[in-house]
Amino acid sequence: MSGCLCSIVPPNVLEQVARTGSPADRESALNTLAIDHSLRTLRIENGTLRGLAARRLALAHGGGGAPLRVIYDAQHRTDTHASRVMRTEGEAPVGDTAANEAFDGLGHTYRLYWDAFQRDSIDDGGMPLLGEVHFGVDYDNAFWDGARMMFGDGDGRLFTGFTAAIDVIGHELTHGVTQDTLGLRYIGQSGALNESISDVFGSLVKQFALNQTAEQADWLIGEGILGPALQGVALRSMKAPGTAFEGDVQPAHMSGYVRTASDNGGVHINSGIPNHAFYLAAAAIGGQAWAGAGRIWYDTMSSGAVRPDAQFHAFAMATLHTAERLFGLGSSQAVAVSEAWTAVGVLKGVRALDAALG
Amino acid sequence: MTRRSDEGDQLELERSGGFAGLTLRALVPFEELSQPQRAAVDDSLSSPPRRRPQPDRFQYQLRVGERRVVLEEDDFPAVLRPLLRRLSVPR
Repeated sequence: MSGCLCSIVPPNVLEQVARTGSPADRESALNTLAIDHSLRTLRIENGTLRGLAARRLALAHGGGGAPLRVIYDAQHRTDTHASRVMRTEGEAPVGDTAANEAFDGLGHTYRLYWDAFQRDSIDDGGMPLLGEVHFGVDYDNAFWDGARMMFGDGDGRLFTGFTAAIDVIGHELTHGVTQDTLGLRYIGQSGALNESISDVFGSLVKQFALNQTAEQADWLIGEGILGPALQGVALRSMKAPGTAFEGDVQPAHMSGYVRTASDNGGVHINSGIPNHAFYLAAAAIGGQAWAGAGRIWYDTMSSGAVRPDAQFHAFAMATLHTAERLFGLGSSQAVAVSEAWTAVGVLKGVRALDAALG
Repeated sequence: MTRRSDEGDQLELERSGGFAGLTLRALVPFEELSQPQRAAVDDSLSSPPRRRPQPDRFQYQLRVGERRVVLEEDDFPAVLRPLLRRLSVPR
């Protein structure tokens, strides 16, 4: 038996199976109990208690390695209290494309974090991955609300939906990981770093799912979700910031840093600079980006050695120190990171070299 | 309502942020606003709510003359929602 036992099975029977069943049945029963518990708890409790529910779920869930996904139908409302469960872990695809795409995208994202970085979900404690599809009416956005991922359907003009691109799903879930690790303030340079980290791991989710090398990857964010009013292939390009669509104004270098009051200080614009630094480092290191540059960025993130109000320079130095710790002083990886941040104008060449040499 | 609705006045509405980071704008002549909409604009300008930026949420800016306020998505007045239809990508 695989997946979840049907939820019409009474909880006491499930508990009996969980205690005495075969390993597969036991796991399945635990999953179902956990999900039932999750759904009941998450509907009625506030955000703080949801965290506790997630931890209890993690205990029931075991040692990690498998996601616990729940996809809800927001039914075109923005008040999600009335959301209906569409698909839970272990269940077959349902007759709703967005629900299945969100389910699969969350699975791919979980897989990258677990297989490449041994991180068990957003909180590294098996936190359930909750996604709401059909959020709002013609809603042109997807976002992480601190507990769940929300996906609009798009208005059909600017966007055709947000679940079709798995890098978008990886981007949103990564906002949760950033919240749980560095807690980068969402304004100015720390906000642009927050955005960039979501793009980095969003792209890595796609590359991991397609088993691509840095050279093979397209390094695009949001490919396939643009509507007819936007001319281009995607929303952002980490390889060539500013070229993804006709309104793309992302800079690739500090000389193009945009100062603005909009978008919390241009967090989606200036993220082009750290995005490009990551691309340059990954391209120079070569191979699968999650194993080289991705590992360096992830360890920098999870080390907590970056302050919530970090500017580009502090983050760059932190990645350089991580590269030296992981791969050695003067290693090709450390040099690649140093040169990448220098190329985008965040580190000065000499300083980067000094840092690399200790 | 502390501001006169002179014929030349207009509301500049801007939506930025969101996952896409697109900035959209609309100009709405003040005379096309209903009384509750004018009151909502004035309230927002007079007593701006505390900023609490959240990843990938929309951010709204209302500007009337020299007065300007930035609002989080959840603080955008419901009575102004019909105006969002007028937003477009600046060319």
